[in-house]
Amino acid sequence: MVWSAVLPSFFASTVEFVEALTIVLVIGVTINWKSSLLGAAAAALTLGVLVLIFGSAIVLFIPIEVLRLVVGIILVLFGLQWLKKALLRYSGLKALHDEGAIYEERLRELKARGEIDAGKFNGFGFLTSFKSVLLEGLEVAFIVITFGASAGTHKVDGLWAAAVGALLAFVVVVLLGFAVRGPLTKIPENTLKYIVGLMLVTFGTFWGGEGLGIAWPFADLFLLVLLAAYFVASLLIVRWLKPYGRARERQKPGVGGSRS
Amino acid sequence: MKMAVRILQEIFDFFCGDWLIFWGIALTVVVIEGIERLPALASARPWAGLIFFAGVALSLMNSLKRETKE
Repeated sequence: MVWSAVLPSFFASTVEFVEALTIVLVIGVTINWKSSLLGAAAAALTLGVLVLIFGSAIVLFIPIEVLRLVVGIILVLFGLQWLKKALLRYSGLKALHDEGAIYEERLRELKARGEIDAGKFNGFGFLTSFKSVLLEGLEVAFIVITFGASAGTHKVDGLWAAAVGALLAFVVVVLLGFAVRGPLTKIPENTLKYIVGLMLVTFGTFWGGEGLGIAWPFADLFLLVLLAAYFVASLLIVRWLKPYGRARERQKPGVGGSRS
Repeated sequence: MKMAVRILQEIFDFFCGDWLIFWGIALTVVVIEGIERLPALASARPWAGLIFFAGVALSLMNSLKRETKE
């Protein structure tokens, strides 16, 4: 089993599945479960086909050296997005992602539309569920394909391992969703995003560097050094950003000194 | 034409979404390529990994710095 493909895939998928599940639950509760689950299933099928097509094309046609360079650079760019958002949230410059609040907000929106018919298939419900699962799932599909194809020496094994990680995340999130029958507010989404961001940037730097000709000391073990370096750098960045976050908090109406 | 630009923008937003980060990483890649290929820069080769890491971290910091001004 290629663990370097399973873990990032599992963490990233958990974040995206929590977001998708929030929408599927809202549609299920407000419109009906039939439209919501059909939309989610259709999106999952579409994603499966995309992974199959692009995964196979990558496995069959692209040499591993080229793949590592391209995937490495893309993973760095992709991971920095996640890391940037997580660091902005930790420092108070961006509001924390609150699945509970999003759930309530969407519930209000849909109730205001007055389109609740418990028994009948609803096109709006189907499309909303389909779109959300597809959009959130695209990021998962990208991570599964890139990590799977680059993590080991055998691309097929890597793809399987990454797919297992995503599948595990799906099962965990769905089981928890059924257990609590609501948005998974207990899952520390920002922490997960931060971990995934660190992992993506670490692997991206390692593979991208290899593709550019850098010979990392200690081979694959250097991944741990890079991970530690990015972790320390992120702590220093949060320390640097926190005063800006506090200043912004004070500027908000009704908070601190700007009430004059 | 507009459609093509929009599609390219969507692809860029999906993979990166931030021009400061994009150009920072692009510059870092060019520097590393130069170090690895040009004989004149061969003396910097042992530091290529560190320079790559610094380029990535500085790209992130540059983008975050802009957020503090908004």
